[in-house]
Amino acid sequence: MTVTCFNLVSWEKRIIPVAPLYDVNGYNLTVDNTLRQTNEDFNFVLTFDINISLPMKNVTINIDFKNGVNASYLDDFHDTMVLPVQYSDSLSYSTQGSYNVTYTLTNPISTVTLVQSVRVWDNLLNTTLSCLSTCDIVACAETQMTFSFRNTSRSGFKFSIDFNDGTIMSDVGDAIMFDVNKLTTLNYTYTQAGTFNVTWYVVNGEYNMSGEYTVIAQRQIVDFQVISFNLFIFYRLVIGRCN
Amino acid sequence: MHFQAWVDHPSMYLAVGDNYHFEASAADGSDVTLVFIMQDVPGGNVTVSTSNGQLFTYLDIFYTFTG
Repeated sequence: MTVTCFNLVSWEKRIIPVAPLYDVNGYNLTVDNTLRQTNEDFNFVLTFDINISLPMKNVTINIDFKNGVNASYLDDFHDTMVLPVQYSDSLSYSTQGSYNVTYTLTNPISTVTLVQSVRVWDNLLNTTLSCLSTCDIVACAETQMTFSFRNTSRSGFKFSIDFNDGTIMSDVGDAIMFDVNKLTTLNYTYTQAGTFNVTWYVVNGEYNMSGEYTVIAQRQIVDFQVISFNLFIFYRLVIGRCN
Repeated sequence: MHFQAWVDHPSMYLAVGDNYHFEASAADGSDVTLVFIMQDVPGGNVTVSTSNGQLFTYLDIFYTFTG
C-alpha cells in the first residue's frame, strides 16, 4: 500500500509493504474408515474446497500420524490457485490402539489443528479355542493338555480360560494387546477326573469372543489284570491308554 | 519534510477482517493531505487532512482489509 502526503508546495510518497491474507479456511479432513485391522490402510484426505477465501499465501500442512510417521506439505495458496486441492495419505498401523492423527495447518497469520481419531483392532470374531492333545475332548487326568486359540489375530488380546475345576488361566492386562500375538499354545493338566465345562473369552479394544469347551478327564486304566487261578494262566492286558 | 509512514504490526502479513493502525509523521509541513491507498475496492482509499494552517507532525488511521 502507499501513502501520499501533499500540500500546495510539496508532496511525498511512501510505500508500506503489507500483504492482506485470509486465515487458513475452507479445509475438510476425512478418512475412509475409522476402524481397521493392523496393516490395513487408512486413507486420509485433506481437501480445500472451491469456495475458500484467497489468498492464504504459504500454507504448511504438518501431519503426525502418531506412530512415528510424519508428513508435510507446503503450497502457495495465491489468488489464482486452481481449486479444489487435495492432500491424500495412505497409512497402516502395525500396533493395535487408538490414534489421534493430528493435522496442523499454518499460514503467516493463523494456525489450525485438526484431529482425526482412528482405531486399529484385529478382528477376534472367528476365534475358537481348540485342544491340540491327541485325545481331544476326552483327556487323561494328570496328563498335560495343550490348547490353542485358532483363527485369531496377528496381534495380542486379553484372554481368560476357566477350566471349571477352580483354575482360571488368564492375561487381562492391557499390555498384551500392544504386541504381536505370542499365544502359541497353552498347557493345562487336570488333576482329577470329571466332566469339565471349559469357558473362555478373548477381548481387545473393539472385539470380543467367548465360547465353551467340554473336557472329559478320565484316569487311565493301568495294568488291568485277569488271573485265572483254575488254569494257572496269567493274562495281563493293558487297555485304555489315552496317549 | 522527512515524511514517514508505517503500520503498527510486526509482520507485513495482515489478516483480512482485523483492524490495523496506520501511522504517518513528518518533521515539518502544514495544510497537508494524506491519502492512504489501501486496496482497489470502494472505500479502499482513506484521505485525512490537517486543519487550515495547522502544522503536521503526526496523523493516523485505523483500517480493516476486506479481502
